[in-house]
Amino acid sequence: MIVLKNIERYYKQGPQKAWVLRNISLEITEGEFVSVMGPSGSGKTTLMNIIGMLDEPNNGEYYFFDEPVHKFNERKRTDLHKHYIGFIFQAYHLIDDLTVYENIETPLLYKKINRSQRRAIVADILDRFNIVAKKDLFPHQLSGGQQQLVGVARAVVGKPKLLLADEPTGNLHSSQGKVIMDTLAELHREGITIIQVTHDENNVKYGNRVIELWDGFIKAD
Amino acid sequence: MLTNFLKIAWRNLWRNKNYSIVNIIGLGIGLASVMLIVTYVQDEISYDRFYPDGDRIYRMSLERKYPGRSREYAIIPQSYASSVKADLAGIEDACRLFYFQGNNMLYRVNDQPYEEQHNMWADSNFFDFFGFTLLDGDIKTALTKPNSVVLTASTAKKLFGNNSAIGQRLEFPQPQNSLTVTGVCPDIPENSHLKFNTLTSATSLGQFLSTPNYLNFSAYTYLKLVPGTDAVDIEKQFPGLVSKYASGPVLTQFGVDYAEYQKQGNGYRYFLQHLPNIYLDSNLEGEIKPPGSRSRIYFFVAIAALILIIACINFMNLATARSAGRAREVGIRKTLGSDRSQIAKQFLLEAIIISLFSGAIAWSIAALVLPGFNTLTGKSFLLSKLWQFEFLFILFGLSIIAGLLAGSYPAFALSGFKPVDVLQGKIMQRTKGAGLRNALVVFQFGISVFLIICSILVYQQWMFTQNKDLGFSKESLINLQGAGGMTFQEGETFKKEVAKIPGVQAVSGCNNQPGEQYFGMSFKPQGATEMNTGSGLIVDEGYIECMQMEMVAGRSFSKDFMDTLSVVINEAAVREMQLDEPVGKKLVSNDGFLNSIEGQNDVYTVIGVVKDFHFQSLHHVISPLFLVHNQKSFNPGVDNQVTVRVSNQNVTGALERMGKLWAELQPEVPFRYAFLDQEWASLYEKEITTRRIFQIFTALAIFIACLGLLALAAFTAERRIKEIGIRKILGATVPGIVRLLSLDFLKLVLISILIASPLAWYVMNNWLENFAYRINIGIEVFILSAFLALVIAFLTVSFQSMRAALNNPMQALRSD
Repeated sequence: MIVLKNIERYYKQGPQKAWVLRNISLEITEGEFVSVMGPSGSGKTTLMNIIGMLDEPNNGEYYFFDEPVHKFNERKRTDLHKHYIGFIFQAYHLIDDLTVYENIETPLLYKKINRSQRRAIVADILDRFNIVAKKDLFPHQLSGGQQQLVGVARAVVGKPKLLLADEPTGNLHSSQGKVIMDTLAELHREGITIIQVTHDENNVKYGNRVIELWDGFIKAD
Repeated sequence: MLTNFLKIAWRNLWRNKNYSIVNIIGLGIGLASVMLIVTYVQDEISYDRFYPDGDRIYRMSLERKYPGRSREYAIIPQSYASSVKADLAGIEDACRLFYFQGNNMLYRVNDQPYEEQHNMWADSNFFDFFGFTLLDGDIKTALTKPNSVVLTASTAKKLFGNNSAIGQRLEFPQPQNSLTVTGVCPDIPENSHLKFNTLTSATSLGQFLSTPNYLNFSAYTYLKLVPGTDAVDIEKQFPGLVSKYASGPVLTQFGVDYAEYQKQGNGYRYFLQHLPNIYLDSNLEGEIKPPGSRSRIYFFVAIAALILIIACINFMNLATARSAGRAREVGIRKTLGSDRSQIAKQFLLEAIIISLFSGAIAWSIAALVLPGFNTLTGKSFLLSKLWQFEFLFILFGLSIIAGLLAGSYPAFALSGFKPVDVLQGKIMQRTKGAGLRNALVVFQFGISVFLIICSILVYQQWMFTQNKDLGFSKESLINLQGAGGMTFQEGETFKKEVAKIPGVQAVSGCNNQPGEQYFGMSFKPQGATEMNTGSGLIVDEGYIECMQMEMVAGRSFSKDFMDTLSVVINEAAVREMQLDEPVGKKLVSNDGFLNSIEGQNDVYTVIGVVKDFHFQSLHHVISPLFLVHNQKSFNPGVDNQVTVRVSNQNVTGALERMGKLWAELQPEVPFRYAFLDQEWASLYEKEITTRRIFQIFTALAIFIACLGLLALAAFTAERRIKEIGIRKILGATVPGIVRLLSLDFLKLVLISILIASPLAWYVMNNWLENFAYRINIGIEVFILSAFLALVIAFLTVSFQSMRAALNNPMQALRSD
């Protein structure tokens, strides 16, 4: 599903290059639940962003379902990611001015799904995540765990093949975190490929593969 | 998608109420100003566009050349109309109008006295020529017979109510002048350079009209060209006509051959003025109505554009300043699959929503201030004008354009944000858009400073013209018009009796007062070959003293002398004729109209020189003036008007007694008085209007700019709230922080002052060139403007800075 070949990412700091990722090559097949670990600054998030097509590598090749992403322009990448990839963030990143329902609906808008279908899909998801009662509330009216649940719901509403979760439980109590992780595990059982960044050994247990990063290199896989 | 955008837009507006209000109100005031100005301009350019054949009607006007100078007249000798029509190909028809300015008609209807202003005389083809209709009467014959008159609908209604006016008579003191109503026409639209309440058949002018005349100007002459005829081709044939018709009269009147006359620098150049352009482009001697001015239109359009730009800049500035707050949303949307164009569309849509709101507010503001605007401009727009499709369409269009303009930068800047950057909080808050924002603030304040300087200078020039020594004292002078109906004896009695009224300091008579149109006179020193043309004024013995004018040489007219052939000249006349010892010099005049012996030149003796006084507005340089005694006049010994100088106590009582005296002597003429200072001020009416409009819109522009600055300062303070907290913990004082926050803005204002001042100097220096008497632009204007701009900006910004500085620092830091 994902093939990275010699991916490199650096930032220019004056004449010098600050390396974030060096010589990353890896392959992820459909149905895996991968945990990316490593100390802060090791390049975890950057790797996620590159896989999620929010960032571009300076060098290297990236194939997504055998499509050469590194050769695509922004529009084509956007197209690819909006159909195949869902994001979950540590800080939830819900849109403040939209209700729960509207937040979940937004990805469907960008996929140009018609109104009645949208209504059915969103209702389905709300039901499934047990947040029907909250659908007209605004993000600031929810607890962190509830917000993240909405975040997950929004990430999967478009039926992505790949779910990218950047420390999804980082801001949550352990009990709230468990709810989120259980949800991810269930999604994985249904066939979604998941890559999560985490510091938490407990979360790693949910996955079936661990990639460890160290100063931009893959230390262990 | 659209509903999603609209929801976001609405909720965002609501959450940031203050910001939204500043934006909406600012743009609303801007749009309202623009709409009012557009309405005004639209009206000004709509003049004379309603005539069916207007595009091929021209007015034949005249440039009269004198040695070393020339003057342009709207009126020309009355015989040219028929000559042009007879001699030149391409003329379909010609029509003459006569209008004697300030000459009110006094008449009675059913024994009720009336006084009518704006009376014209016209050739019988008038209605057909201009395409006017008659509401009543026969359009073919209404103006064919002498002493027939056509009234406008409102005049007819005033005189006869709902009864038919046809066949009714307007009775004059001299029965042979009485008029019979032969028609009623609709009122002439306001937006026409023509204006009359009564239109009398030109045939009533009798002898005057039938005598061939190619030298003296009296008739407004309109030509209708055959379709396809080029006006320039017609103009080219005018010189030929002049030599054919005018050279004979020139020879008889001036005693020189026309070629020689031209060689001396004299001559007549006729030209055509296109009817639809007369109101805006023509400002000749003897215009029927005070003309409009194209430059004033441009001027207003420029102000409107500036205000709109300032309001749009507010919008843009505030939106970019706030972009950091919206950056996260952009990032999320992008990760959810939005592409750049969708984000741009969203922000443009938001901007347009705000601007449409502003449009609605603008409409309400315009409706609210319309009465005041009417008073200000002297127009009479109705509220229904604001409901017209055109107005709404322009307002809607401008709102959309303003929205697009104002929303474009935020739309494109925000949509370019990289989700990775903004979601990790990496967005460079300080640098992003700050350069542009600063440039826009400089631009905005540049405009404000420019406008402040201009309005100060306009005001200074105004005060200068108002306070300039006019050479006479215009205060406490009452002018009684319509004294011309009295006989010499009655006039003398009246003046003597008025002088006895307590509070009356002096009484005198004259034919015209300063500010009115003087008649022309020409003189030459005895023995000289060249005529000097100037203006003439007929006065009695008390005039110079009553007006508090100053004699610089010789004496004024006096009852102790026989002054019929004496003349008092002004200093300008002395200069123009290069007289060394003017008093006692003989001057020759061939102006036959002043009651002189047929075919004989008058020889006057200069008895005194009066100090130059302004008998025209300060736009004009003082020209040569000849004062002659009222015994040597059109109507010997009779004054057209009586001028009374009163003390300031009990003016009303004095007026009442004058009115009583007047009624005893000539009961048929209404007692009409005017204060000379007010009349003089009316010379500047258009300028006062322009000045007021200018000042009001300048104030508005500054207000909108400040509104923007206020909001921008608020955002800056908000953004730096953490910095302020840290600084306070480190021991910064409140004034120190206020200084810190305000200084950045004041620097920008300072830059705008440096840019705007030279520009304003250049523009205003050009403007002042229009005045014959003008102020010099002093440095203090720029210092004052700079000071004003800085104070205004400081007050605006420091309000926000104070709030930020007074905050509890812990609160600011805890939130992080």
